[in-house]
Amino acid sequence: MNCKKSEKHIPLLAGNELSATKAAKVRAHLEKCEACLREANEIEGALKAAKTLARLEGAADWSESEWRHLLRSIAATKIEKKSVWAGLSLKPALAGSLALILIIAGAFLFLRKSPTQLNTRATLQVPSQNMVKPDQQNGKQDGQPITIISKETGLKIIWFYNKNFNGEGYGK
Amino acid sequence: MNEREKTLVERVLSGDLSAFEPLITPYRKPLLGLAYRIARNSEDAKEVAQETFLRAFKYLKNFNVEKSFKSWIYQILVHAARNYRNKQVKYETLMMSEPVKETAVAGGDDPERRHDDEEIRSRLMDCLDVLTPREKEVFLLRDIEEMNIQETAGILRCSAISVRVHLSAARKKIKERIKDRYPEYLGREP
Repeated sequence: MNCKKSEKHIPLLAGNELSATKAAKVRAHLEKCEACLREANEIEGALKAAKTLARLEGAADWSESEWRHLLRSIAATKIEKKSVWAGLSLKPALAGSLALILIIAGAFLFLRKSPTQLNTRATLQVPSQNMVKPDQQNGKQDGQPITIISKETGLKIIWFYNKNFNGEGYGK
Repeated sequence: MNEREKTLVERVLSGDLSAFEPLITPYRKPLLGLAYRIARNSEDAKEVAQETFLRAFKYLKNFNVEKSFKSWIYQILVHAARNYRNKQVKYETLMMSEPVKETAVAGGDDPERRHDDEEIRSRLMDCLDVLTPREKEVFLLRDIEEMNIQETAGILRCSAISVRVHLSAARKKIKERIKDRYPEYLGREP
């Protein structure tokens, strides 16, 4: 163990809050490092001093009249009925995390659903009765129309393709 | 929870209100002492402690008798002290005044003893002043009230790791303050 790690553990060593393994490692380091040993002794001394001060301070207490008055106030208070939510109180951090998870899950479901909805929002009509067929104007029946109408915007797209088109000359 | 407290709680809940006094009497001094160290003023401390006992009575039905009554009532006190402190901060900001410090709680009528108590109290308060509110709560519960890490974490509703982190920081700060201002206490046996 080095000094940096040891410094982190020394305050907890003073109160016996380290695991046996960690405490042994810190003590082994203290045997080798004078600066860390001094720090450990100072923290231990300060902790004892604070406890001494607290002990010497003398316990605060109520006067008898104040205590009686408090008991009378308590007697005048009603005991609340057990809350339905008792025991269900959440830590703010936990409640926040749950809310965030719900928001993310909701957003994910919404976005996942949207592309499907977009596909069903357009209708396909093949062929249409009232459609103008360019090939009919020329007396031919080779043009095949497909109409796509958007349910959301009402946009109508009519797509004609020539069923005799074999791709020859395409790209020339 | 010990059997005596369990019986007393059950008696209060079944309508025997006289059982509440023996239930809270063991906490009469410790809770006021802790409230004083958090609030730094005897009037505020009494208000916080009074609020704690009133809430403990009012919400006794929500208390789980399988758990520690001591931890539960200390939890109420810490919560009441935080609420009180927040109200005070708002009030002081509004009035642009300094927080009220120090008035004697203990010491009785003996002026010499009272002076000594005040001197020691002001030194302890001076040491506690270097801590953040959370460090102060952790330090008071663990090192002054001598509760274990798990109890402290339960009362403060945080993790044991968080308690260790704040405790570590608090001890370092207290060490610096005692070393700087009250070196005569270093090495004294408690």
